[in-house]
Amino acid sequence: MTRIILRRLATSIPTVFVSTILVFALRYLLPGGPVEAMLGGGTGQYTASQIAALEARLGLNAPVPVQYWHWLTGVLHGNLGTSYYSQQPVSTVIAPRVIPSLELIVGALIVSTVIGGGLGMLAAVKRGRPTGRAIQLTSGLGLSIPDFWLAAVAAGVLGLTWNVFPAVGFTPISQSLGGNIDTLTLPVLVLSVVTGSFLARHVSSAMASALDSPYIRTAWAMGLPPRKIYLNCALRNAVAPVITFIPLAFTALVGGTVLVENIFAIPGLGTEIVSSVSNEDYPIVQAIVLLVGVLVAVLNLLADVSLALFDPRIRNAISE
Amino acid sequence: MPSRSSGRSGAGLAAGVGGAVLAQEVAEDATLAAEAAHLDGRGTGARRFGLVPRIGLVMFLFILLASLLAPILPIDNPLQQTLSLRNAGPSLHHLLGTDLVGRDVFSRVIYGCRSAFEGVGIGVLSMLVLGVPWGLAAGFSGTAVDEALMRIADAMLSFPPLILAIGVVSALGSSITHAMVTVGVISAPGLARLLRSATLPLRGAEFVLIAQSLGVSRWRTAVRHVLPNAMAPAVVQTVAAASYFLIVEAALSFLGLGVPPPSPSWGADMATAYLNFTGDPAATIVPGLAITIGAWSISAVGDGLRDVLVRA
Amino acid sequence: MHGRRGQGQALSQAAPEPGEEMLRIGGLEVEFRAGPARTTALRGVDLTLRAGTVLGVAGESGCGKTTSALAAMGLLPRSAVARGSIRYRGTELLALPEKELRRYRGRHLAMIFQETTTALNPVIRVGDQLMMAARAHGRGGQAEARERVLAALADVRLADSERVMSSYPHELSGGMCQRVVIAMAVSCGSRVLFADEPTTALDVSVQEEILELLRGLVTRRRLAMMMISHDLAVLADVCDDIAVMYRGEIVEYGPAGTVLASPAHPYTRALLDCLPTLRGRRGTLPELPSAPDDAGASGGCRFRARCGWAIDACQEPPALSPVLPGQPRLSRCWRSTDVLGLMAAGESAGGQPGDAAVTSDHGNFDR
Repeated sequence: MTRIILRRLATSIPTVFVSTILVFALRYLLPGGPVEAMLGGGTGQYTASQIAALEARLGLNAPVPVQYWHWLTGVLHGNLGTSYYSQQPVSTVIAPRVIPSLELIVGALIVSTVIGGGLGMLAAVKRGRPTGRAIQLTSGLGLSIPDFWLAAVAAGVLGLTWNVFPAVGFTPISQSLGGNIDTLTLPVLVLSVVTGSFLARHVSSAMASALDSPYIRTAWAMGLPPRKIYLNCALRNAVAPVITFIPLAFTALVGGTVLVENIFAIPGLGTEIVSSVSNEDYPIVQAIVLLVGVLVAVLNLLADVSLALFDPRIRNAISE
Repeated sequence: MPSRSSGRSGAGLAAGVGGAVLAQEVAEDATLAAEAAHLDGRGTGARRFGLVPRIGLVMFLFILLASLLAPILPIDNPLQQTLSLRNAGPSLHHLLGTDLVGRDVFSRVIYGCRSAFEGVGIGVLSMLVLGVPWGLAAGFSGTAVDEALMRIADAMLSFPPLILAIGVVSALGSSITHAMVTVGVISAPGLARLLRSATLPLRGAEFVLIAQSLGVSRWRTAVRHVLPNAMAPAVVQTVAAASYFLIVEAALSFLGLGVPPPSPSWGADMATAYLNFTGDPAATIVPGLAITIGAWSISAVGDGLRDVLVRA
Repeated sequence: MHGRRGQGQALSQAAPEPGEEMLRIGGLEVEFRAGPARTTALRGVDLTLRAGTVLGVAGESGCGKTTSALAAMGLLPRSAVARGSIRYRGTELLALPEKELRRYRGRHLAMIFQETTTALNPVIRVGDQLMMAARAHGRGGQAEARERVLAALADVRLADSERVMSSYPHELSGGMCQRVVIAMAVSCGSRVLFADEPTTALDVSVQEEILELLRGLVTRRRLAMMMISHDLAVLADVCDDIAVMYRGEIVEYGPAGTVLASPAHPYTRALLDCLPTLRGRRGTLPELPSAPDDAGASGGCRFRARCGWAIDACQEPPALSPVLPGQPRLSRCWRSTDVLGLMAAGESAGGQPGDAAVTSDHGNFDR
């Protein structure tokens, strides 16, 4: 068991490192170079010698790998830099924004897993028949719609025009649970459409191929009752795609959340990153990118390990 | 009751903004399904370029035509502001109404085709330029180089593309080139992985060894001999990516990080029109519809190509 | 033992007499529909399975041999339409709704297939799968089902049942997996067993063991077995009677030894000619010319286009008729006596039913 985790860690940790390197490297893209990233924008106000002094003081004369190391250790201690828009530490600016975004993402994950997974299984059992075809069609549609368009239309029609759900704004849980759910319903549903459709397709194809496989045919031939066949035999094969789905969905949802938050005016990391870009508040942007990257890597690791634990074939292959 | 399924599992592609990875997954899934269907003996049906892909192709060509012919069509100048007619609803002159500074929405939608294509083109080019050599190199070289390249690929693939794009755009400034090159670069690892797995088995193939023994350089061997064999899935994946690029470009513009105003862009226009949704819903809905149709038509063509090209 | 409910159960508790008719297929026609297109898989097939005997069904791919078994089991895809009669100990199976039919599967009729390791669920332990099947058909509880399973495992000569039960399918060899599937059928109490190419995916040495095992089970437990194979060598070993099929029809039927030693139909002869013999003259193997499209068949014998014996009369489709009066041999050919005669005129046909002939040596016939 621990061997599996260790081996997976061994492959994932380099990936996480490379992600952090990528993020670190982004600062070199700035027109003013990393100095720009460390100071407020507009290095033009400094003379050349002042800039050189600053560079020395900020440790920018050190070789790049050393700079990376300094930055990384800083990050691990919670020092994500200082926002130059507000002069606050980045961590203070970002912290309160994490919860709303997490609520959105986790909410959408749950909804899309339950509904998407359920529909997918139904589509597999009823494949070739009207129900199955209908589900395939709707999920195909769901996959093709750009999420921000769906969000805009949903917010516009259901929110602004018909006033069924609030189109803007966010009520934190601390204030009112009902209000929280009210403001989150529409965004979560919109986000779940794409990922839910994707999962429905994935689960439906995994389960359909399981249902068409020789061992299910054996089960039929031996007269096992259908309920047992679907639940016991085929379902186990549907679990694996769901496990691999979650990190993928998370990745997709992060992108979708940025857009949805902006449309529904939810004060999360999505709105923060966009406003930071317009404010040229680079440290915040970098911090959010880093946070997301690390989270995704961790999720991938968890999914990998769960998959290994779950499927005896993989387990055996690893422990050799 | 056991029976053979007739549904296909991948008619659309993940158009959600985080969808590069999903798109790749769905494309791979669908490829496997198509191969399975072929092995099932349903090959003859799957060989043709189906009806749905044909519709997609027609729509795509239509959009292409619109973008090429835009200047000579009898529509308004998309940049011309008629301040007296701001936020007007649909009328005979302005079929879809006007936006907040009085520009004709309809002509902006037509002209929007151009920036859509521009974005997709830049993205695809970047993806190919980086991804193809990457994949071939990884597949062809020894294990150490391969490992390193693939580690980097994995790291990039796990990143939500939109976030990374935002990060880069924030550093470099918003322009369609910056945005789309970034997106193309982010999608390159996906293509690299595909090419690598197509190249790996061919590494020791006879015709490769023969070419090398005749003194052909490894690079030439890769390009002339290996690449054609790996082309089919690569083409399918690239087309799938193109569909995704359209959406990402629109999303970035929507957020104000892509095409700078006042150029017509479906995404940016959606954003401005949204502010006046109740007054003129068409101005928000139609550009979005254009994005959906554009993306769908490309992915439908991709599906069709996959059915034709990818074979067991 | 009491039936759970339903007279279907009570009827068939009795152990069969040797030779008792267990399954009678009469005039079975099966058609597959894919939209407007229709393919006829079976055109009026009559077969009988008797307790304690093995019926071999031979033919090339697509001749419909598996279809008849699937029809009896009710495992045809939804696109298939079956007409005719399939009677299991008097009960008409084709008339039963799915729910009723399900009660027959496993408990009375079972089928094993070509796949070995993949025939078992890869993520569930073998023992659990066996128990699931046994419990689906038992009246007793867990313990009674376990007894049946262990007895079945012993019957299929799988030693070390504890280890087998706790393994996953991928940890067992192909032959062992096939034994497990056979044990599953046995533990459910099946009386009729359909075996569709059960040894095709196995090594030759393992093939022998499995065939021997099946033959033993048939005798000991008075099973009625239909063994489907394209490989005449396999059938020669195990079967009492043989039916040779071509394009959805039976073209020859009779005791295995006799049919294989002295075939009465050109197709059977051609199949036998394709088999290399250890003895006999050397030379090139004759080939069956490739099959033309069935759609072109415009009446007449279906084998005509590939038949070396065809004459004008073959434009009339022959019926399945006795070859020689008094013998239980049937052939669908106008010239069956000629085909037969050639064999008899040549070096003597040996072979008694049940003769355990060396697989690559068929009836000592040379030409």
